Amino acid sequence: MATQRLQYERPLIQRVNTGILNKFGTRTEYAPFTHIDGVSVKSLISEFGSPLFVLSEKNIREKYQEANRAFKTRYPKVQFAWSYKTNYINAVCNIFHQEGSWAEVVSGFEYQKALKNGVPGNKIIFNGPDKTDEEITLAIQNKSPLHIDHLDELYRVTEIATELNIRPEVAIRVNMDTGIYPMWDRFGFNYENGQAWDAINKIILSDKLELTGLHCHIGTFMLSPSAYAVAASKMSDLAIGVLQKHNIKIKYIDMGGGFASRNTLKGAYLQGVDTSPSFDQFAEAICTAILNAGFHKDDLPLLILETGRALVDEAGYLLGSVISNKRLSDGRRATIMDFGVNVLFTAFWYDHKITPAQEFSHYTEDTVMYGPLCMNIDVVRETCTLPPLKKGDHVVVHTVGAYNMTQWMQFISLRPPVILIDRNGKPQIIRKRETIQSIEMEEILPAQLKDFKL
Amino acid sequence: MSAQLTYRFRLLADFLLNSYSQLFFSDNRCFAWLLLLSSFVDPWSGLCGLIALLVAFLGAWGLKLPESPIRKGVYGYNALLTGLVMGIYFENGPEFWMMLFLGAFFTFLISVWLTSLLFKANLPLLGLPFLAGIWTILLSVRSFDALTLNERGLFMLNEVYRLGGNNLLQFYEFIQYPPIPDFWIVFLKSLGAIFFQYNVLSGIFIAAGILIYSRIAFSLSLLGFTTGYYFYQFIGGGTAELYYSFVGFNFILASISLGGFFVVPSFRSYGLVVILTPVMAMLVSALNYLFKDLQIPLYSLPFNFLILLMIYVLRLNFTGKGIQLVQQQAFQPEKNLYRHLNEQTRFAHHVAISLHPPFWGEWVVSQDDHGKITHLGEWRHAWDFVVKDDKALTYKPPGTQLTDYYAYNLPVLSPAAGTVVEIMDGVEDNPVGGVELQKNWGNTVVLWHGNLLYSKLSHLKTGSIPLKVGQTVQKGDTLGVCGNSGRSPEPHIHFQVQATPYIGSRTIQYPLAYYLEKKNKEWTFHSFGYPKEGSTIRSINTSRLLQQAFNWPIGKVWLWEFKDNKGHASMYRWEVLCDEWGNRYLWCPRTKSAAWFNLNDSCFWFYHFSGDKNSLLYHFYRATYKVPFSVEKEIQFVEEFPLHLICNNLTRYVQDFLSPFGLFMKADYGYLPSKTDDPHHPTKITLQTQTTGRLFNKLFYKSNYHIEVGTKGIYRISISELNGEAVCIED
Repeated sequence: MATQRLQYERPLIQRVNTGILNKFGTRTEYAPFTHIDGVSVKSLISEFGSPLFVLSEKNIREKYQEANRAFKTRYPKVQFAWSYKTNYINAVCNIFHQEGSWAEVVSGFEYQKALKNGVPGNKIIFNGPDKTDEEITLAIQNKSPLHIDHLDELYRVTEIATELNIRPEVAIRVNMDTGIYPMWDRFGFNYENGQAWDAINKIILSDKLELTGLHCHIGTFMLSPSAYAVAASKMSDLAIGVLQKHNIKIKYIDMGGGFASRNTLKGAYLQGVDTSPSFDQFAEAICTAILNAGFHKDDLPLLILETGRALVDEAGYLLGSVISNKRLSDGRRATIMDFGVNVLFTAFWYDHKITPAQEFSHYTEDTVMYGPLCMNIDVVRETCTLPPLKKGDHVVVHTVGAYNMTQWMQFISLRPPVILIDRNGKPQIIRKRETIQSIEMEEILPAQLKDFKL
Repeated sequence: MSAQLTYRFRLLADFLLNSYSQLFFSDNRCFAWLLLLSSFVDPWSGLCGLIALLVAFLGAWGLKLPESPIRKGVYGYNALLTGLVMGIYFENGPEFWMMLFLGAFFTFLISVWLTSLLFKANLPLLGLPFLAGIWTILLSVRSFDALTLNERGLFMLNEVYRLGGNNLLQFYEFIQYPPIPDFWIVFLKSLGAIFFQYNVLSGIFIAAGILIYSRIAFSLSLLGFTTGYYFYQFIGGGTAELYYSFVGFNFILASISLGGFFVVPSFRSYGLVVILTPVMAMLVSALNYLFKDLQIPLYSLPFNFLILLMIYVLRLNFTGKGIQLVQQQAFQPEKNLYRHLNEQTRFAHHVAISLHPPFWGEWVVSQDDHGKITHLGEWRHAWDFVVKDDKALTYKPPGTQLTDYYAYNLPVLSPAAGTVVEIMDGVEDNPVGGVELQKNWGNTVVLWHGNLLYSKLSHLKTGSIPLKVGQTVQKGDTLGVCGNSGRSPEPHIHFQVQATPYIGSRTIQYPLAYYLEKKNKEWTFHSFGYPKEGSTIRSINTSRLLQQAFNWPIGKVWLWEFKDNKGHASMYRWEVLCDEWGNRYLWCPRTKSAAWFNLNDSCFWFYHFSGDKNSLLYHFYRATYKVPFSVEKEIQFVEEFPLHLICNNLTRYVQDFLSPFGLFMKADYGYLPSKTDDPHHPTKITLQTQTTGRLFNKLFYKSNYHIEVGTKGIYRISISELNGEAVCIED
């Protein structure tokens, strides 16, 4: 065995202190993370460049199966619908569709994407507060479950259905107090003040629409399963009420999403890995509440789940490289990376776990991690304990699979490629690196502006 | 009035013809006519047989006996035999007519009595009443001088010469002694002797009849006779006895009935024939000595005795293996065999009360029937279930807490409707790896499902059982949640079936119902089965739409219109009927076809068809031979048809000859994944099924069916074989 040369590390002088006040001492994030699903970070960057998003197909499928198992062993009728806004790269969507997920979309654009991916119309759930007439018409014709968000939409859907002479299947979105703050009451009809019943009565009495489901989505990054238990029992209560009052069997209860991933929210005392509830805990809360609500055993509603973040977040990695190190005026160390908040949008609310991708000694230092943008907001981590990194060193940002590949900005620089490591450990490009053409493709330059002399 | 007359005439016709075919255990009409014809080779004797039958019919009808045995000819065939024999023995005259009437009537009475007497012992009637009748007559006429013996047979050659001169005589000689080997002459004469027509011509008629009736019966008759013939030669008994007495037919009848009629034909039954024929020969010789002094012939006494003896012995085989008696008589060895084989593959594990997997979702069998860890001795029939992830772990690492285990806290469900008969609760859950050997079953629920059927679910979480003893539960009700109490080192469900209501009762073998089993990533559907250790199983999700579409109330009338692609249309009307035993069937009066069906909460199946194989009902039988009430795409399976109901060609007849030794032809029902508009709340389902025929495993026949089911039930069936589709116009 050839002896390995020790890496050069710059010397550092450190004041002896006890670290940030924390019962676990200073956070240690310095185990090097060199391989993703058996593929080395180094080879990925050398082949596809830096920065680079990497997704693990294996992890996505495992997570899905974990969630699926948690619910299906507790409830007889379960259906997942992939939340497109979380990550709508077609390859990702199709992994979920292969696993059996329907599609859940919140815009006409996403709806078109789901259709293009080949999802049958009646398996695309159309949510969201903004649906145009054309989109509503298309959804009705495709028999897609329409989830109505507000009264104006209810009226418009009724009018369009009357014009089309089709009786579409609809659901209403319900918001409610589940004991958490902030209460999400801007979407849907409120349960406690009777708006939900008002909408239900309007739908049933108009007789133009068929009320088949109830939908809620109580929040995002929920760390408390008990809130779902409250929501599920309120939803069941509504469904049973509809049966008693109107003799209509609600076919499904859609509990939306919002399950926390294992990320750490900014300001959280403990790490997300330790605090985020498991799928089993969410499933236990939801299924028990519905089973105990009093439905007849043969008329249990279908339980739909639109989990996005918790299914895909952990499958995503962002690989990047150090551009430079510098010392700030107050003496703090700063590291400038080749990715910033334009690419890693979720850096605004998570303290992402960042690990070096190569071996190093045990010395660490608190560092501010900046992105490459020429903008003051571009801070990836305000403070982060890392070993001394030098220019060209690689790092891995963890748990970035959700929302980054949909909320990223083409701002100042172009967006990086996305790689999927398939189940055989083979990296495949699923979204190419943007080029100047991809941005200018949609631009139109008026004739009078074509030429100039400087 | 005329309707009633027609009805009675029909009853009489059925009675007459069935009485003839009953002689050979058949209900084949064609065969019946051949037998009738062959009995008239001696017209006088044939006529006497027919008259004796009329006497029996009048007797049965006049005494208002049950109609079903009359129609089947059960009360008739013994009287027929008595008549035939009397016609041969006695000279015409008023005294003879008197005696014929008395003899036939007496035989008939004995038939009625013995039928019900033997029915209770589960034994067949055979020819015992005939023996009683004919012996009584033969013994009694010794003191009745007026009755004279028939002398026709004695001076046969003279008579023939007188009638037709030398030519006819030569012809007669040719018929009686055709230039064929002795063996065949004796064989054919023995066949004729069954009808007391000791000549080759009758033998040929009967041989042809047997061949048409059943290839197995034909080969058996040859086998039995050959064995007897060569046994006589071997033992030095001389074949003279076979030549000049009626004993040869005993071998033939015994071999048909033991080789294929009362016993399911197989190489074993053929072996039985080879072994029993010498026994029969021995019996014949012994009885001959006894009866010589009485001066009455043996007739079929050896046959009757030996058959009853063997059936009695074989009844005591309860294992379902080895030589099998026919359970439900189909009146043809081939049908008996094909039905038996079909029932063995289709219904071997079938039980009336379905016990479903006691959980939701996918679970893995961690210990099966006869498991090596704890499913031992009297408790060997049981299953342990755990939940595993795709890495085959039962827990999320590190697995040191009960809550790390996927199975822990999951609902445990009632496998079927039942009553809670015993509950054990309050046993603390063990830490991971610990076991409690005192209260080894842990927290347990015992349910009673009717009859002697109890199920027991153990190792539940302490305090999780929401039930009281005496409470009734429905299938799928929660009995508690999975825990780790009792002899359980990690959370799992223990499920066993027992015949007594106690915790700790010994177990019985009982299958699990309607589940999907995953092996090597492939799902297979099982109606009833015993999942093995390591396999993943889950219940099927039943669809109410299918349940409703196949739940036909008795009395339902269906109107179907069939149209082929050339525009020919025909109408069929079906009724749902139920017989006195509670068997349900679809009846098509136009084609006189019946398709017998059964169903439960999870599945519908046809189990028999009789009637016209060109009818729409026949295709419906094939199209929906078995339909599980689920639209899951994992459900697809192949199930065998009884061969005789699908294949009816010359190759099948060749197969018939070889069928006791193996099948090279197969007919299968294929259930392909169904299509639906919405897997959770379907409003339209298209079932796809097919019938395939295989010859040496090569496909030689295939026809497809599409059955469309909507909210109002089954409404369209397209039939590829007929190039058309049937539409339900009214129900």
